[in-house]
Amino acid sequence: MSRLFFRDVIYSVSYGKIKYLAFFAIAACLTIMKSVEIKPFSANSIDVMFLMLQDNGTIRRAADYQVPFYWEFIQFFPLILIGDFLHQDESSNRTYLLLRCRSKIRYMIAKIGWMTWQSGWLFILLFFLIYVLSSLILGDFSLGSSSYFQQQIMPMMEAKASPASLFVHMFIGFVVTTMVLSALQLLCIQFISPIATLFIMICLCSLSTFSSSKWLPAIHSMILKRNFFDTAHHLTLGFSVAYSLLVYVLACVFAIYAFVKKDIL
Amino acid sequence: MAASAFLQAVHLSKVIKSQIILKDINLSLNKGYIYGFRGKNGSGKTMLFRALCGLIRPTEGKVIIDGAELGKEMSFPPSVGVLIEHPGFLNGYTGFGNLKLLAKLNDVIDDDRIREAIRLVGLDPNDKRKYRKYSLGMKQRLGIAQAIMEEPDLIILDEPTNALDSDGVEELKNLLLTLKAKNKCILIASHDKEELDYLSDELFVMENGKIIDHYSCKVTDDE
Repeated sequence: MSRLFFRDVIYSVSYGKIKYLAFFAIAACLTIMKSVEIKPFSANSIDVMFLMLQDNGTIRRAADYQVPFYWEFIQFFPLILIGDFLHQDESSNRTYLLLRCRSKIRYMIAKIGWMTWQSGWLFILLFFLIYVLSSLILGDFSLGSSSYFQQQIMPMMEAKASPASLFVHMFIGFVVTTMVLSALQLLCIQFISPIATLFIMICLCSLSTFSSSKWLPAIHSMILKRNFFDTAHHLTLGFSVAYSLLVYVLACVFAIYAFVKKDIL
Repeated sequence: MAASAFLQAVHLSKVIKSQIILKDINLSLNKGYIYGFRGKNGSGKTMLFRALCGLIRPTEGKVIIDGAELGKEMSFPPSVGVLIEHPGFLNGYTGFGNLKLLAKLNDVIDDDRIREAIRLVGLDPNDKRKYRKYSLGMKQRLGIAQAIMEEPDLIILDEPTNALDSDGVEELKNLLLTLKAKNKCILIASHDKEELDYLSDELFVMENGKIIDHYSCKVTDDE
């Protein structure tokens, strides 16, 4: 199984390298733009992360709705990368891999392992990229509370949170949300086409920009809907992690079951 | 049906969404023989190959390989090499690199064996060109190399001569005869009657998921 996992890692990086580069290049451009924008306000990299990765918050009046472009880009792109590889492997390599590993369960567990790894390293690299680039531009490598944080971000909060707490919530939120949405993708492609699956995922993500229901999977990467910005919905990190992991495990189990039962056409 | 046959299909049928894909297929295949399968597109050749590999589960009947029933005693054949559609080789890797990535999954062969398989299909194992630079014929040859590199007992090749030039077809014929001499059970599907007649010991003609004709192509040395 570990051999399958490492093969998936090597294959996905080689197959999707241009797309990965595009993702990080766009993220780098957005980081530079945001950093230059807030440079005069004594900000640091945590502030840039917050500004880049924030969503549109809880919508109380329809007229207040704004599309959270940055959040959507950061949330969608990894899903596209993951879905693209899953589709490529399903359509071109599955026969050859299955006949070599001789177990559908091992094949799927390796894929799930790969998805988890992918959700982790993409965001580790993304946060690291934002940290390095913004710190270089802002001339401040600290991760503490900046003037910008105290004057611009803290007043938005309903409950106090440190920059470190903000960082942890954002990072873990994106990782677990990507894991859940990837697992749902894996489950859906057992039944419907990859394009239709991706469309469903995009709809599922977009729903969270309208609704504040904490049962929607994509809401857990939305920092402005967390309990310290919006106490009304009680969206805590503990709930997000527990709920996301539960959905992730259920989706993976059903995906394995569906794969074992289906014919490899 | 011989009880000791290496591969047996017994009353094998497959229905997908009310459509009969395979109907009452009976096969008894042995090692050291080449079996040809001929039929038009959609006649069921590829589906039959998929069923024999354990990739699709029969609606009725069973597949027995080396005495063990597929889907009950084992999920997939223990030693099989296939070429069914093009493998998704990586464009940025060489032929050798692509095969090594696949070979690592089982880790039963070394680099020399991979090079040997590439050489056997008429490619240069030291060719530094990336897969994206390969011609269609070279891609097909590499696909055949991945099917035979682990020296499986059962070799299943679906339309292996596609995209091969006449030299390539000739080399493939020699390769299959060499593998046959090594006691492999080889199944090939093709549209080309002449080619299959030349290569096969036995030939099965398929139509609408059924075997409608079956004859021996064996000729004696004198003939």
